[in-house]
Amino acid sequence: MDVSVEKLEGNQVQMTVTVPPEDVDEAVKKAVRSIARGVNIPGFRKGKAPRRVLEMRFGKEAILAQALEDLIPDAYQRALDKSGIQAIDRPVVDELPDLVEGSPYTFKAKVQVLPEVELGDYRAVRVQKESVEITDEQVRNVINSMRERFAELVSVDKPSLEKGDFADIDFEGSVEGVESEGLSHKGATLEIGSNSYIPGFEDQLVGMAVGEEREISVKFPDDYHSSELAGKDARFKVKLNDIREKRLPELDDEFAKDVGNYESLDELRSAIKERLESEAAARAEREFEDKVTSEVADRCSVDIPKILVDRTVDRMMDQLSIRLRYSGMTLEQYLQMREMTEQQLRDEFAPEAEKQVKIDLVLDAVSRAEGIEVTDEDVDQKLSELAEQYSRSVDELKELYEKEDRMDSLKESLRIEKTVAKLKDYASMRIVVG
Amino acid sequence: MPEPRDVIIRPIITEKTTGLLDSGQYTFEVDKRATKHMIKDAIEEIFGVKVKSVNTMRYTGKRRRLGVHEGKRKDWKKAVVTLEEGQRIELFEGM
Repeated sequence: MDVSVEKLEGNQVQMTVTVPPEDVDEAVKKAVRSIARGVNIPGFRKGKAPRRVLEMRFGKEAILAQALEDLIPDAYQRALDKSGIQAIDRPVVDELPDLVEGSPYTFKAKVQVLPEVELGDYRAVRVQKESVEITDEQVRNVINSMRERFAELVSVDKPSLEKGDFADIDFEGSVEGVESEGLSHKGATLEIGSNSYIPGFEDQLVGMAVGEEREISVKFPDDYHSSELAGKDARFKVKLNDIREKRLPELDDEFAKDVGNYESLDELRSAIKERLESEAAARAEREFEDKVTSEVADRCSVDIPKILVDRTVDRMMDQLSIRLRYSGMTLEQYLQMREMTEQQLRDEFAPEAEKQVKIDLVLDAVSRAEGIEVTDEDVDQKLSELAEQYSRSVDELKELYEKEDRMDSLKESLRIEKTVAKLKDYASMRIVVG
Repeated sequence: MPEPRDVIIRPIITEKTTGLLDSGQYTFEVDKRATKHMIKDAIEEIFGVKVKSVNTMRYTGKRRRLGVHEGKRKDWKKAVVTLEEGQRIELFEGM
């Protein structure tokens, strides 16, 4: 098999493939066999009709056409392997000359290949990593919200209910004179001023004393979620059982012991600070990485192939529909909700997909330019990390990856990981060495 | 003397007869009344080849029945013609 490659415009490559005569004849023989298997000719058992009989029946051309149909895909695949061309789309074969037995067969195929990336001065990218600093205030906020969560409601001796108090109430509601069970409750806890009930309800309770009963009238808002009640007038008989206050736990070592296994308040504080710091650091790292890769990509130019963008959009659509399924929605429903067509949604994804494709292409080019290679140690290290993550043994994981043929893609992602790490190194360099 | 094309009725092409082709033997259905000599002459005239020998055999038609009516397929005669070394018949043309 002979392959010659010629570069064309628009990231296309023209391959001229020449198949040797032996392979041509082999293909013809195979075609004869496959035709014979499929036809019934009087005088012959199925599949036993010899070639000359078939030729008489269907003509030589039919046999050769069949042979060609078998030969081309196989020859194309082998040509790709031999030339190392990475096709990213189906080939376009303009015309196929007729097959001649006993002589070599030559055909031309045009394929889309990965575009060449014109690398810019990516080493000169400088990105400032956001510094991470956690203020005492942030720590205090976290502690305060913890106190809120651990707060207790305590009865207080008070002459009358005020805003900010928690009321323990029984109430019976009726709409247009009809009592409704859904509007009645015993022993409900309501924070006055939290506006969690119908507007006006809480206000009209202010001033009540424990044990007092009061009848109030409110109007359901027009946009109330239950259309049966929306806009209706209602009356409520309310009895105040108790007035309570929220008591936040004291901020002391005891509190630290309650919320977690901390010895002292200081220990709790530093644990919170540590957690906030590591979260912020991870976020900053991610942002830094995104910024570095997109700035590197900005400095490079590449003709982004549409087919890759389409595939990325496909993937994004799939991910979206999986996420939607978790929240119990189908893609169709989602589209309906947003009042858009699938094509519009795809168009919306396209710029992001384009960027992603470009970054991928650029990172791949950079890794080659930098001569980045993945060693066995890298793989082993990654595997042991993964093993820990999934609590499996390294050997088990290795076997799994090999069985599922994922070793290559693991290596590939490691290569990209290393490339990104390298770019990050460059980006954090202080001095530009001329 | 009957016409050569009345003697030779049709070639017989089956797995068995295609196998024989390689040894220069061609198989035909022939007129029941034809003799080996008549067959030899007819083949030589029609195809312009030299015949070495002729083997013939007679077949009795198979009994067939359609409902109550019993019938019989026609009896016929088969001839296997062996050509002289190097001779060929382009038998399959236009079949």
